Amino acid sequence: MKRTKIYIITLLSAFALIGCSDFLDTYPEGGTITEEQKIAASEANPALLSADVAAMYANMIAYTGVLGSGYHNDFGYAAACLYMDCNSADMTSANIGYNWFGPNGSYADREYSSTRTFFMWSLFYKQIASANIVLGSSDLETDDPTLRAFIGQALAVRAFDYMSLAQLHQFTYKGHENKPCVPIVTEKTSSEEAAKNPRASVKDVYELIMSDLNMAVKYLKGYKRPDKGYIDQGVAYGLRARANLIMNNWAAAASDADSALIVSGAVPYTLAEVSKPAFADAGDKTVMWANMITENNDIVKSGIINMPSHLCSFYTDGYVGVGAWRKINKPLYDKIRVDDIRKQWWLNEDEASVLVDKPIYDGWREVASSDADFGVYTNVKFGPYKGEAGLYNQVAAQDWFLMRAEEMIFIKAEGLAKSGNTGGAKTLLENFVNGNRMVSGSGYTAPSGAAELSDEIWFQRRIELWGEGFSFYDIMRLKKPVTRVVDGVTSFPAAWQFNIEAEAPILLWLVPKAEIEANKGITEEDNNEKVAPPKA
Amino acid sequence: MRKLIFLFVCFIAGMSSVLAQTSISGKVISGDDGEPVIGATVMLKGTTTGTITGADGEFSIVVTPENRTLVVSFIGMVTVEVEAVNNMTVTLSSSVSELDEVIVTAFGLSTKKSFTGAAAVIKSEELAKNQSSNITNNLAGKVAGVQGLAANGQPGSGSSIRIRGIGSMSSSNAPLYVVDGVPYDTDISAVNNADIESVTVLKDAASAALYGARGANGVIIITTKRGKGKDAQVKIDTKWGNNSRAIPAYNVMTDPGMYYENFYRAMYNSRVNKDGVDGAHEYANNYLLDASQGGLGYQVYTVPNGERLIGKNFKLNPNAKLGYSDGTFTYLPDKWYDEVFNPKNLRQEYNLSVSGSADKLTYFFSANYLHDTGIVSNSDFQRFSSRLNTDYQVKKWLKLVSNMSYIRSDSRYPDEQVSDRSSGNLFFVSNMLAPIYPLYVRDAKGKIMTDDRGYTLYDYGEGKIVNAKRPFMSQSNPASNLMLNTEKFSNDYFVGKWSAVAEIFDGFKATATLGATTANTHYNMLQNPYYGQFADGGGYVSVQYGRFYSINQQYLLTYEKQFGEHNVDLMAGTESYKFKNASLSGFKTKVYQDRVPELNNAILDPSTSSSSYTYSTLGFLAQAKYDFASKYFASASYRRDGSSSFAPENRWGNFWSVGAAWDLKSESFLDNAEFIDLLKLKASYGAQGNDKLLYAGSASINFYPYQDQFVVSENNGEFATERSYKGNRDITWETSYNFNTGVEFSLFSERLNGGVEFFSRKTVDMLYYQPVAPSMGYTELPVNIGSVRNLGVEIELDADIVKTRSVTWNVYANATFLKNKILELSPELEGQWISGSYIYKEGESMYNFYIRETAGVDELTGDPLWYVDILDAEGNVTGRETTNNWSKGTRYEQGDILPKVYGGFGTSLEAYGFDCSLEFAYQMGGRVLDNSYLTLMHSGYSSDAGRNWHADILNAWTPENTKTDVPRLNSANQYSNATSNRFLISSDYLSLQNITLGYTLPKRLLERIKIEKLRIFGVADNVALFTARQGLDPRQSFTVAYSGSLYAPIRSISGGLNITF
Repeated sequence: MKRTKIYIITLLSAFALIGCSDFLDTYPEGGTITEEQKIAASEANPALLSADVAAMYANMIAYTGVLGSGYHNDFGYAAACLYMDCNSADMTSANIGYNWFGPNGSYADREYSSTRTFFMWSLFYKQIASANIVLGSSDLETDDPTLRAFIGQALAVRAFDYMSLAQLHQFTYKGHENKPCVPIVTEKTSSEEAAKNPRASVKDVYELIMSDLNMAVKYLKGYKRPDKGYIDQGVAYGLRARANLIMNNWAAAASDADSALIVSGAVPYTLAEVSKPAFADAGDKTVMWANMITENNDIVKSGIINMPSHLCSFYTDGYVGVGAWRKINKPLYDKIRVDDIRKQWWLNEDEASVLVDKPIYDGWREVASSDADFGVYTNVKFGPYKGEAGLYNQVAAQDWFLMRAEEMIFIKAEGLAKSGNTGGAKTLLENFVNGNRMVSGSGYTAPSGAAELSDEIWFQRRIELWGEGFSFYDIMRLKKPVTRVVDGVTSFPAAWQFNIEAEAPILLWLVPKAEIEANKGITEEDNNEKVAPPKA
Repeated sequence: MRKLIFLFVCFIAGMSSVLAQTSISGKVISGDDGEPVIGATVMLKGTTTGTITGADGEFSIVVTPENRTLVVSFIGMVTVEVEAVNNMTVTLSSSVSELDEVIVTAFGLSTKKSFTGAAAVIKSEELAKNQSSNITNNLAGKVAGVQGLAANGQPGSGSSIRIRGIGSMSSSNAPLYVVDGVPYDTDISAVNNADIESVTVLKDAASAALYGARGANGVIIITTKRGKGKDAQVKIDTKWGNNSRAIPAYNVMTDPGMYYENFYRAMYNSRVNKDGVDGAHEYANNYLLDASQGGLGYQVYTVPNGERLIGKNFKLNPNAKLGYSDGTFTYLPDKWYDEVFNPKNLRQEYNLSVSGSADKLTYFFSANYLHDTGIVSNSDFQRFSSRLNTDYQVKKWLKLVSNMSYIRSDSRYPDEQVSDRSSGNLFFVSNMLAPIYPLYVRDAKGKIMTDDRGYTLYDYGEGKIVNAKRPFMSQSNPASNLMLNTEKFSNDYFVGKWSAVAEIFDGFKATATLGATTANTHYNMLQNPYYGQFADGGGYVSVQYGRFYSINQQYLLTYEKQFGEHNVDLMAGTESYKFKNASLSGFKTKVYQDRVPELNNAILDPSTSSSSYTYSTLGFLAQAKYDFASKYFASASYRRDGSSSFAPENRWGNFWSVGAAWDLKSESFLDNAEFIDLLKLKASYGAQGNDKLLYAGSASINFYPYQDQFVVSENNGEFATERSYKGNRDITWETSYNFNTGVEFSLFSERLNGGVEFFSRKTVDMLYYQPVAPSMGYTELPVNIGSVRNLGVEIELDADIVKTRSVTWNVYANATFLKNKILELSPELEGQWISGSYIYKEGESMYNFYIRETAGVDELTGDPLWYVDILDAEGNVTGRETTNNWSKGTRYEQGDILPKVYGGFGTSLEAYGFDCSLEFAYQMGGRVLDNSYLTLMHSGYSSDAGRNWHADILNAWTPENTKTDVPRLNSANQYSNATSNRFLISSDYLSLQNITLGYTLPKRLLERIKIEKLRIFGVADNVALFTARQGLDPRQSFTVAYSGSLYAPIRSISGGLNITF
């Protein structure tokens, strides 16, 4: 019996042993981190709080961050730019299965249950959520310069997102102020409110954008950012210039664009700089704000789920190499003057361009031209990572420009032209084109009439900013049609050869089905009109 | 808890009394082999006095002059009553009755007769018939209530088992696997089928509540073999056989001309309304072969100069000759399937086992080698396994039990073959590719070319070698990938369990168990540097290591005692379980040697990552079983369980069960009904938990679902913490309440056995992802809301129709009727939730499609039509009309698509040494969305160019064929085959699972060569499948079948020998 007692005691102490209270406290190591781990890490090292700010920018380069794996058209804001440019009249590509942006070319993307509709919504709202996390955990009255810079950036990021959402989901501000736009979610919105959150009016959305940007400009004063991936005061001015341009506050747009140039110190690309493939390095002086891409980013590691794979003709390892080359539409190309260096940003009818007229490009051309869809009008604007060396080391780590000096010059010129100072606008435009783009250095004259000058500025934007995600916003803002076929001339594939009238319902993106299902504030009837894609 | 156990101990101690008079000693032996029976219970009849036999079967017991009757019993043997005599020998014979057969249950043993719950047992003889290398593939159809879904046929891969329906929405529906009493969370293919003594499927709360948090989806207990008998018995089983594809491909076009003709018509139709007849012919003729304009890209016919390939009558030019040369290359379509699939696949398996006992030791040793080559080159499964199970009687009162197995498996597992829609998937490509494309590159004379390395030159369709581009799956040639790429897994598993069992005193037994499992997985992959996606980068190497480690501790105290006609069996204990899963991976590009899948063989773009996660549970459990005179049975169990998956304040839950059974046969009123051997009524009720919330839209378990989760990423050299998952601290278990009742019977000297059970399995506090407006920046939040119920009836029958000395003919059948119903959803959903193509609606099945309904084809235009509701001003539906705009079509719920009944049946015959058996499985009354058929019924839309057509497309609308349900071909209409109920099809199937034929040589022939048994046999698995459409395999999914794009199931036919000596 003694023995028995020993056993029982032993057993019972065994129960006690494995009954330790922390036995069930488990945690992941590496991979994801939990909220508790994140708080503990930040307590140990307060500098990690800046990781929440950086998260806003990381959203813009997230690898399949919205739709999940399997969607090779989900690589952040650059993907959204390609969605929009492929909707436009200016960028063409082959109608083949490997062209992930083909449904944007055909407007098959305007289906409210489609992943593309969901992407164009959630990409921005995810970033808004990141900004709201920063704002929600900050005291807006703080005097701490570091915290004020965090707040200023979050406000500016949020304004950037609402500006994108507003331009995609409703027609432009002017004349549509009271139309339903998108639901507003701020750091103050509770989950109950978000579950019953109607589409705010265009006016309300722009009021938020303006108030966020006004505050951002104030909070970012004096902030020295670590690199051009962050928003500083110059960028905030630039964003406010864009907003004012959309709202037709012409003088304010010109003045903000001017402030943006002055504060940032950015200067446009010189003729020499764009006489070779460029637009790949945020270190270039023209760049005011960019997605800073490094070789370590998941989108780069993925090899093919990134901007260069779908846009840069030098990255032959990507989707371009199997036929998804991005080309300019012939009518637009034909309008570019022969003495404008920008005519060389695309291969001509002989598949030639001075940009790639060097022996070092022979190897690339051999690989590229082995694909049947490579050729005439293919862009050579976007250069390889690390310049010409990148022709050999296929790494898709080019930076993605979000704002550069040329755009500010155009905003300023348009603001001046439309606020009555056509002379100033004309001079500004001529100085830029003659000084930076004309091979001869002169010979370019802009028209004098206000309307013609405005159209000329739009044309300049179309060629200068081609492929950078501005063409669709401009069509919407300027109430222009999508004119792919001009007098029977086009280089769009047969199935996508159609024109769309200005402010046609098909241009609007729809509120995605998932939003309607989970947000009681938006019903099916509240959605934009569902229309079939245009027919060729 | 401690207090409770002390109370329990005191209670038991108080019951035993001491009436010492005369001491008798004796021995219990087995009548079968004369060996001592260890652990037999010897009781003084009608008292609580008793003992248990020791290592050599010996016992001593104190008897009184008035009472000298001993009741000697041992599980699995016939209980006897004998008069006590000193130095007596009691002989027990094996129970011939199946009713007394031991079944393995949660933390213990029971007999079929006394069990109050619902469990099904599959014994080794039945399991041994099937050749699968994964036990989960052997369960379908064998017992009621069990369904298996096999996503693909890759050797070594298993089935997802579902027990009594689907109880969860966002959490795992997989049962818990327990091997030799220890929870098992790694690959089940590491358990060698031949080592398995039995599989017990625990289906209700009474049988599984002791597994608490993890038992809600049922439990599958796998028990391995142990030593029996004194003399060593050596068994050798060998099999050699052949694999082939078990289901045919879909009925697709094979004639290249026919494909061109139809595609031409699709392009023509897209333009004829706008450009007129001539314009449309011109368009189709111009672009038919232009891949960048939505055309096909390859000319494989030679037509006379200036003539059209397809005429204006939509017919292939009669002068066209198959094969076209452009002066450098010849373009000739190949039959991809025939070229690549090798019918000569050897399957071989060898099993050796030695078992027996010596002195105080019993042992079972086994070794196994299996090589299954699948049906695609570069895909196979090779396994070596070894096991040693021993029991050692250290002292009279102490036994050590040890199970150890080591398994090594090597598989070539071409990942792409099991991923739908991947360009590297040979099954997908060979099923879906139009019959116009060449597999090989041929020179101008038509000879298949080789490259300067001597490799056959395959056509990747990317236009880099030949002057043509394939629009469908360009830059891929899965045949070449399989030849040139390397992809392999190596796994080492060690599964060990050690127990010490102490007979403390008088029915008390203490057991301490330690279980440990380690799985090391090593994956190497090399993508060749010459062709395909990674050629430009110089090839690609990926290496991954994974390490899984689990540790399980159990401390149990049991008390088993007979008090006259009262039998008591009590148990209390504690169990802890913890596992850690860690992985390390890296990849690089630009490889030096083309067959060495190691990182140092490559030089560029290095990338590494590693991470781990840990999961643990802790439970305190107790169980009481009682029976009176083997007539009334009662049981109760309780477990308090904690899981690391939930926040500390929500992590503990209580799980329990009660059960009762009544054997009517033991009642006097049935004494005269001699044909009845057993007539048992039973009922049970209880609660079990499920803590395995999955990540939304994924099969991965979320081990930290209560917390927000972030991904640390790099943002130009700085940290960025992006939220990847929104958690909810309030979530806890979902709880499943199971009610089970039924009748079991055994009639005519146990020749007709069966039962009927009714069950209701109701899940409450369901873990599910509440949809959140994407404008919040995340799209779902885990919550515990809602309830779903599975109601069902199971019927099982098993009859020995003929049973004589030399002939036995048995038939069996089982059926499970199941009805799934959502009882309650989150209140803010107001009764229904639409998620993707599904609708979750209170009162309806969880498996309910919400899709458009086809209204046929417009007879005038050939456009596809869908129904759309007509609404009045208030939004009420007043009727419905049709539309040719898919987007505008109204979506309708399609009702329950799950099969109404499923099960299996079979027969076996043994006569004069011959044996033969057939096994079938079936399901009926369900539907499935046939996605492969859907994709094969496209209308020639540009992104479908080069995708094959099902032969049904020949019935497409034309001006001459207007009465059809197949819309007009139209390369501008991407919605012709958009998802609608047109593609729902019956998921009924009947599958001939297994045929076995054998002949056992007569014993007298073998005696001379000292062989006990020699059997020659042939066996065929996965023999035939009958479904509603050729090519469709409804066993892959309850919802959407991708049968045409995944590794096809394998039919294996083998012959072999069983030798015992």
